[in-house]
Amino acid sequence: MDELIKTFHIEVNLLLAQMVNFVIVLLVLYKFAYKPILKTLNERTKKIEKGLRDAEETQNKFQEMTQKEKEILTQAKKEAQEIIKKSESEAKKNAESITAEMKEKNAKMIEDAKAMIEEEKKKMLLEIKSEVADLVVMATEKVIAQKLNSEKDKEIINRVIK
Amino acid sequence: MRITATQYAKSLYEVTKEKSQSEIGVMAENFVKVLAKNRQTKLAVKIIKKFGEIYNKENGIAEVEAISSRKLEADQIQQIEKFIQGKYKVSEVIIDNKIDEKIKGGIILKIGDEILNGSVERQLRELKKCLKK
Repeated sequence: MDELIKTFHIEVNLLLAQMVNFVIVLLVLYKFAYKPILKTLNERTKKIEKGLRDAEETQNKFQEMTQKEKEILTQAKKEAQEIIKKSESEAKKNAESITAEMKEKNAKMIEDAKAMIEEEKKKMLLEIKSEVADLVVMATEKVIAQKLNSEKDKEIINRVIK
Repeated sequence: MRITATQYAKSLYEVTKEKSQSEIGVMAENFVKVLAKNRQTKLAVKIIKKFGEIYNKENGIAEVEAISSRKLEADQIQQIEKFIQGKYKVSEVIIDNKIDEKIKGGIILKIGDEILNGSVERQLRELKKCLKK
């Protein structure tokens, strides 16, 4: 040991003093350099981690949104198609019912017109009949007035009281 | 209860039948007095008419209103009398011939409520009705 100390010119006092110095320097460094640096590093790490996390979250959210968008679009397309289909069928149905109604109305109109014509015909025939009857009776009256002498009148009366 | 014209006429006929002319005169007078007492003189015309009807019925008399367009001749009136006698089983027929040119010929006989319409006017009317059907 002594030999070793001699070879390397180690002085215990000096060594001790140096050790004390080192400890002091270490303490000072620890207090004024290491702690703030560590704090900064920690903060940065945290910040980066947070940034990464945020980015991931954003990505996730973006993906979710895209998915949702797709879903909404599909739904909307489906709904639109359904509406179109429904309106088409309704229009068809409406057209059919309108056609049927028109047909019915037309038929009724024709029927009414026919009935009216028939009624008119009947009326006319009746009028003609009435007029003919009046004319015939008028003519007969004239003939009777001319031809009915007292002899003929007697014959008629005799027929009544037979 | 009020007494009707028919009831008056019936009772008048009942009391006057088979009575002499002078008795009937007295009865008629009394009857008019009764009417006046009952304040029913208004019924007099109706009673006279009803009395006539009852009298004719009871005595087999038929009063006939014969409407013609020309005045009926004697033989025609006789024929009508015969016809009525046969139809209504009456012994006497009184014919009142009325002239109405509107009937245009033939004859209408009115016996009481019955009407026998054999006029040319009716035949024409029926012809018209028939043609209009």
